[in-house]
Amino acid sequence: MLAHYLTLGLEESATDEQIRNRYLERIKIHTPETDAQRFQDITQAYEAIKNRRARIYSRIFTGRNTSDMEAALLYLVRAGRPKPKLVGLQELLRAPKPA
Amino acid sequence: MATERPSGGLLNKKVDSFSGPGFYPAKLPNGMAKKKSKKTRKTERKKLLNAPSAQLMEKGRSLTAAGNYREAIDILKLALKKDETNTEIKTLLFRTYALRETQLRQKGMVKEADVIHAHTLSFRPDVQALSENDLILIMKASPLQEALPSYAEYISSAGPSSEAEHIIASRLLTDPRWDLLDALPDTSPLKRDLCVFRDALKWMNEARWKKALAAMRSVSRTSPIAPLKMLCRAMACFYGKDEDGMNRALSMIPESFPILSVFRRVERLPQNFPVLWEGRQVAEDEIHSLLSDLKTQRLKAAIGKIKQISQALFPPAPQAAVRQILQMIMPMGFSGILDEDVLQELAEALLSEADAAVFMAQYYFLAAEDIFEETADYLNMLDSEFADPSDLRIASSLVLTDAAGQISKRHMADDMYGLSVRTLKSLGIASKDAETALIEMTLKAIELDPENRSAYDLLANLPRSSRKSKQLAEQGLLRMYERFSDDPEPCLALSRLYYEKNAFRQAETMLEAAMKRAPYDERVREYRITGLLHAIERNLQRKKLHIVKQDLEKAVKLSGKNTKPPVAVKQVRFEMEQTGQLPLFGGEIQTEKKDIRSIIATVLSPMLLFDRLKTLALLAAEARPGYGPWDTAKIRQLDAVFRPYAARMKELPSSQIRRLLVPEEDRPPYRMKPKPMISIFLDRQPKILNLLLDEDVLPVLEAMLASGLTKACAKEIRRRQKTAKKPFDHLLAFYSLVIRHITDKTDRNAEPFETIVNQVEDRYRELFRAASRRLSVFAEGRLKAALEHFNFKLLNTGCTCPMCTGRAGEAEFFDPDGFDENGEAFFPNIFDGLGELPWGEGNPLKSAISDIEQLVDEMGLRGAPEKIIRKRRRELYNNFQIRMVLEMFADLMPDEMKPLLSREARMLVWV
Repeated sequence: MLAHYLTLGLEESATDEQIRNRYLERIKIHTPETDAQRFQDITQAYEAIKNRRARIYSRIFTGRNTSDMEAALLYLVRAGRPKPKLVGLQELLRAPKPA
Repeated sequence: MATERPSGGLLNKKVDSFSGPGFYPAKLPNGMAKKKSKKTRKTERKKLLNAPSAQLMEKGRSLTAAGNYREAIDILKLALKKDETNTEIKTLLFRTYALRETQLRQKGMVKEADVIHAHTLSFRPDVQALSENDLILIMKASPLQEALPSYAEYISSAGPSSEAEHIIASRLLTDPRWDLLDALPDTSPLKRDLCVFRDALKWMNEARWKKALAAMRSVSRTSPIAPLKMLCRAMACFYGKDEDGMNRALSMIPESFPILSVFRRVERLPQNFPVLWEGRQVAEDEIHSLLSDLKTQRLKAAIGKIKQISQALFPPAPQAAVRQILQMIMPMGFSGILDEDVLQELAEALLSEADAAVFMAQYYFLAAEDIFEETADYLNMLDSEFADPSDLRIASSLVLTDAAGQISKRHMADDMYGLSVRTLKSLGIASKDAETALIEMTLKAIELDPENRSAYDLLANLPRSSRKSKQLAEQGLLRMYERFSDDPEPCLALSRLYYEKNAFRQAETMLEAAMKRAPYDERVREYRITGLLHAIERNLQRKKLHIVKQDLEKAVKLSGKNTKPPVAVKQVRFEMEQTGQLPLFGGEIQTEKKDIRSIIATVLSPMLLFDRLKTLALLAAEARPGYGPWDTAKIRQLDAVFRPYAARMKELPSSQIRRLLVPEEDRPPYRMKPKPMISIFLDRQPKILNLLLDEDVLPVLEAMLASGLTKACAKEIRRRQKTAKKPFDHLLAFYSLVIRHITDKTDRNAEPFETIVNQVEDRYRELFRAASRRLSVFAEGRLKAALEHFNFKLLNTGCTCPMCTGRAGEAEFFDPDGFDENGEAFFPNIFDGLGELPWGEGNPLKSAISDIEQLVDEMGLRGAPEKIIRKRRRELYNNFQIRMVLEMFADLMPDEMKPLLSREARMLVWV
């Protein structure tokens, strides 16, 4: 479940409409021609959380529907790519700098 | 002031002594400076005290340049003692102190730096005499309130310094004391952009980089706050995912802007600048390492890694990531890589007690070993996972549907006997009959979530033989009918059910409803026509011709490409039955009964030759004396009509002739099997096979074998072999060989088969394998097994086990009683066979492997969880003889051959 939300960049409280809008937004950017893997991930995520029934189904049956554990975990890792964090100047200046 | 240069030999000697091994510490082999002895240091100090000030100053300068400020200060102080009026020494001492102060501040030694700062100020030269570099040193070393007056003085004499302005601007970023800037003259560029700077800084601190950038739109490239504008642009590009723009902007920040120059590195190391990111990127290696830890049962390491990965993946709620990871590794438990205990330990270590309990209940439900009990347990725990009542109902419905589907698919319904009343109640089961119980479970799922489409679909396909189960299924399907009011599928499902109940009129009503819901759906039309044909046949037999008339007219209207011939057959039948008083489509009433030739001619006239031939063949197939209106005379008349058309078959292309001879296997709705046509056509047109191309003849040959026309088939093959080209020459030879083996059961040998197969090019091999599998249905015993597995060595083995004799798929093989009949002689043979043969190509184990794989398929274990396989294995091993065979197989199987077996087969043999 979490992986799907992360892939679409949504909170778990997102509504069906928000999910659909985000899906349409993302597949316009990540088309099968430009980034096939990302497109596949986005479609998979959308199918898994597109409505309440699908979300509940994913929550219960993820364990059984995971045919390739490594691929599933890597999907989670891809989904969990760190997002840019909104920081102000002071935080930026205080932060430890790269060596 | 001119520098006093040392002169004379003595002085030179002294300089040498400074630069000699006594002054520059000798390096040890490992790079460490050798500690000087107290005595040496004392001697050196003495030498220094004796050196002239100019020499000391040069030494101090060189030490400062080398970054050795402490020693430089020491020497310069000595020099100043010797020449107190020398301003050059003072300036040099000022620079060295300033550099030392900066050095200490960089090291975080603030107190020490403050002490040095006092010295710096004491040696500070007059502002008029300051160079820009000195000014920068002062600015860097002084707090803003001290630095600004110095800079103001400097401006008045030397003009603005861009580097100094950068320093002031950078100080103001963290310490925005705008009032101090009053000390600066109006000629300072910073003062000019002060308003913009203030506004922009406010937005920057609030992380509104675009707004800050907009505020600095008027800032010129030469402004001291231009680097800030570049930072704003870089940040705006960063959040806008414009990496190129970000890099371009960052590269324009000058190194002289101290606090911002560090951001130039963001370009190269965006992932290593953690403050800019939420969480961190998890490397693929971490996942591989985690899986490796789990496989090798390194539990502590695995727990640590799951925690780390979860934290990195989703810092706001790492527990959600933990749960997701645990769900993803569940299959390790299903396949036995992880013990259930280990999985439980993981869950308990990583989740709260309640969550771990729910997780394990979910695991056991999905593993589905004791599916009834585990489903009931999971249902009872669902409320802690789904707090929202409507979510809970949907979840319960999905769980029940899935469980009913699994039970049906795996034929586990009988496991319900002996369950507690509580469990049965949780599952919604009230009946004691297994078949009805599954329907009840599905109905409960529908009751919980009336929108659960998968439950309805399951209900439509669950087996129902008893009256009660049909009644319950009808209830559910009627709900489906009402709920999905635009969908024809519930109508089709209900029509099937009504046909099963022999409630024909209701079935037809449902088909009519399906037609209304989806009038242009080809599948619905075919269902409808098939239903009408069913009704027509029934009413023809009951002589209810007025009803037949109505149905027939409907069927003719609906009939399409595939359904024209069967409808035409019923038209002919109707015309044969009626006396002419019921004209179809409002035609003229006939006073006399029509002749069969004219009936057929009328019906066939609008059709193409292919449909005409098909219609005639269908009529011929059902025409037998005593059936309906048929008698010998009428059959003869039909034949007389058929033969001229049969003679015209040469007008058809080869593919259409094949379709006539071998009707394509479609999926008729009510199990109406296609009738064998080959004999009908061959009887009327014996040379029809000559019209077929080689690529179309193979299915026809198989249809001939199925119809028992073995000799005719062999003859046709012989005829074709003379002219056939690749790969059909070998294929025909293969067919011929198979037919010979089918007819002559005594002469069975792998060699001729292998000779043919070995001649075949690799690209055609799959054709042979498929043909072999198709031909296996006409064979029996060892030949059947050999053809099924495309392994002709089986023909040569002496083994008589069910696997090697083609009986592995037979039902009685699994029946302990049936097995016992073969038992006594069977075991010694397989052991002898296995013991005698070499471990090579002729190894019977290879064929046994494919038989075990077949056994896996027959038992429905392919892809099944380990628990199911274990359970089925236990059941199988209850039979002593089967156990002996499999155990012997396990013992004899060499390790190098084990990988040839599938996962399921290995579990069946060795678990």
